[in-house]
Amino acid sequence: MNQNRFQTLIEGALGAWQVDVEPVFAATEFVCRILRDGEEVLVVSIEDQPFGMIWRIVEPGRRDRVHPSIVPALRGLREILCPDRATGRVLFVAGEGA
Amino acid sequence: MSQTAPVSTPVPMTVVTGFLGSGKTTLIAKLLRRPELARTAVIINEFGEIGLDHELIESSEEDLVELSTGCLCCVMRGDLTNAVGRLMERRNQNNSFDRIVLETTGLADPAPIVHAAIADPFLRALVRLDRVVVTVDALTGIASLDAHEESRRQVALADVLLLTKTDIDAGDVLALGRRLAGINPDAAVFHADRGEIDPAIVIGAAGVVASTPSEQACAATHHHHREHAQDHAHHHAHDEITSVSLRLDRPVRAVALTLFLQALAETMGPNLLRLKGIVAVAEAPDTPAVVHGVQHVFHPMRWLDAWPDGTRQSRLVLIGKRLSTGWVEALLETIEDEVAQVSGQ
Repeated sequence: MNQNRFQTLIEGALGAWQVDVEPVFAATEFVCRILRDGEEVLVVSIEDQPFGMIWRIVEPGRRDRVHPSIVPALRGLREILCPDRATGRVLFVAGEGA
Repeated sequence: MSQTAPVSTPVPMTVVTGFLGSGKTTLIAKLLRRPELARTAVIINEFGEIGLDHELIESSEEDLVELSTGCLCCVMRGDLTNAVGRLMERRNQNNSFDRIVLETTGLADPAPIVHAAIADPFLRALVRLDRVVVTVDALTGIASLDAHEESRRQVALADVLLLTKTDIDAGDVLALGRRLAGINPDAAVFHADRGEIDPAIVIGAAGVVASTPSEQACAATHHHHREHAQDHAHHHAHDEITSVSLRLDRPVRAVALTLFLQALAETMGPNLLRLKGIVAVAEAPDTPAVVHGVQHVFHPMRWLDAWPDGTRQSRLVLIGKRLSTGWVEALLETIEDEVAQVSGQ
């Protein structure tokens, strides 16, 4: 992970969801504050733990959410920022693969 | 010796769509006169109180079904299932056709139709989606793409794009080609003025994945358009539908590829219109995997015996709304890193 990739991951997801928020990235850490109308909605960060990298989502007044991977971290972000947005689940259909 | 497929074999179905007035009916009417399509049943979905298209297509009455209850993509599965079921009942009685051509309305989003064809258990037992053919009017195509989401979604899901009316005014054909390649760089593009087209392009027997031999042949024709498209970013500021092309020289672990697809489907939801490609999977790098999905529905990976061009380079094309190349690349790299970390490598 590097700062550029961290920023791309967050900004790309927010762009795809078209949520009206502003991400503010820390200069030297993997920390992103997400603001809505100037108010902090949540903080996303990546921490290096002895067992690997974890994603932490801190929402004011809520218990921290800790995710072991980008996949559930994106899911957690979406559930907070745009809970009504339609999502998809990969469905592998049987039969002839085209 | 009979050349008729057994009745129990799913019948190949070509979906013909395209914006209003782009020449779908003309195309089908011409094609049905060709001996290659002599044994073809037609399903026509007309939008509006008065259906005309079925009057314009010469076909035996019993092998033509008109759906006039509404736009097929809206009322979808029940009607299509019923129509196909009725046709197959007839086929069981008289064995009169070997293939189905489905013409949608000009306002149809083909995604639900493709979904149904590949995911609905009943339909899948009866038909095999062959390819999605989209007609694009060379005169009005750019305006339709600018103004109508339906037109962009049709192009995005095409396996084959047929430019019509290029004989009337060829002035904007190159611009149209660039625009189409920006939305769907992987589709093969052909001219089909007045419905004149090689039937093999419309009823390709090999299926819808870009790496099939028939589509590799098509790719040469499309090359011209792709060269022009590369002058443009794949993202159009005025067009939310974008295409992202990834080329990877490294093999991808199977679990990373699966997680990547899952993350794409979850994050993008219905805005992920299409994904297809050929991937070197780390566990079997000599036999590339063909990945093919429409929105969140994917076929099981199909394994090729060998790399078609010997490059061993994975290629993935994603088409969707508000897709960012950088984000897709970063997502895959992050998932690959996480999988490598977990597996201790």
